[in-house]
Amino acid sequence: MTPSDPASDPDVQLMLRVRGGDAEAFRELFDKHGRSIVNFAYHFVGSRWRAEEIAQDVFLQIYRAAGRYEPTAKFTTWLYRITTNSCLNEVRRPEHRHPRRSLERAPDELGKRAEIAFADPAAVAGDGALAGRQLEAKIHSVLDGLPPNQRAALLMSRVDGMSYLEVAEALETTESAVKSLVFRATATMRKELAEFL
Amino acid sequence: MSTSACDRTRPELTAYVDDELEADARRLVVEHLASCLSCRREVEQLRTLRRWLADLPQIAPGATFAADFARRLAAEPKPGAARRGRGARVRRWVAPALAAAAVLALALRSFTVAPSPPAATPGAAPGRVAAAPAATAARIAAAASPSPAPALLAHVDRLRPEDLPPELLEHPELFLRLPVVRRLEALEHLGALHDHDDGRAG
Repeated sequence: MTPSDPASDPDVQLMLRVRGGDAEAFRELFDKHGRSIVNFAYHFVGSRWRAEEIAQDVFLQIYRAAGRYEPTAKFTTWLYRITTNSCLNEVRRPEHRHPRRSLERAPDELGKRAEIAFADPAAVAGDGALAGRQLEAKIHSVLDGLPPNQRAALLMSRVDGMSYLEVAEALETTESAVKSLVFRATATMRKELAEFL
Repeated sequence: MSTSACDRTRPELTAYVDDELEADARRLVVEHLASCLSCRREVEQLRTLRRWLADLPQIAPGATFAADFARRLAAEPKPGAARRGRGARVRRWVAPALAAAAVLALALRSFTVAPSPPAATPGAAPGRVAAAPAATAARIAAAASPSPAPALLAHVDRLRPEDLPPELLEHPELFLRLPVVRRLEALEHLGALHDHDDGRAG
């Protein structure tokens, strides 16, 4: 597979307008991708408030760099590269914890816990909604235990629906390396989630 | 199905489920799956895993997320304005300093350069001039490339990353590590020392 032409990416066109000082174009990019970046960061670092901070930091970085922006790849490739680096920095901080997603957490810490239960509990073997929440907690627990580069590749590929090529560009590696990262991450998940399969 | 065939196929199954295999590799997997129940079961599990991850519930950013970001963004200079602003900052202090340097250079030149060209020494080859005394040569050299005014050097020495023109923002630390004279040369090279004229004209 070959990379697509960045010039044909509408987000690149918006970013070029941002480079020229168009604040509305930047707002459009933020509205379009802000939520995805919060979610990616949330699945990566496990903390909702840190995920929101990371997402804001990422968009500020983009805004600050706009004056020097040159379209060499799809905008989302650049966006996810910056986000992944921010998430990697976060999980490498000594004070980083895995604060999320334990079923043992107090209800007020769960925030909108009901909102993040599986939409279709019937899709999960076992006892409906509870089984769905248990599965979700287990998935997050396994994600937290994956090496960060495997986690990044798996999330981009499976949660954000990016191709291996796009993931490779975002992680600045090769498609075959991404294939290997996803394979190993999936093998771990299959093993750890065997009781649900 | 033989174990060796399964061993060859299994590493490809994740990419197969992700639809990331090239046509030939995909065909081999499909052929194997047609006759291997064990690998078909694995494919089903991989598909289930894939669906679970794709269906992980999405969180909605908090109610203040966009407003908080807008507040942080408001404190940022506009991308275009930031470039112009930094350039303007450099130009603001450079203009008087450059004027001082020019005055100093002119003064040095008027005191050190002989009013008329040195006379040709009899017997010397055409086009060559007699060697000037060492002290005079040094003064002429100094006048030909005058040292920057101390005030200008001091200003360049006090430059901070945010004062730099956009061309230097990628690696400001490298620029600021240079000796001050080299920094001055770089600014001259980039036209940052002369932009003030353009600015005034505009």
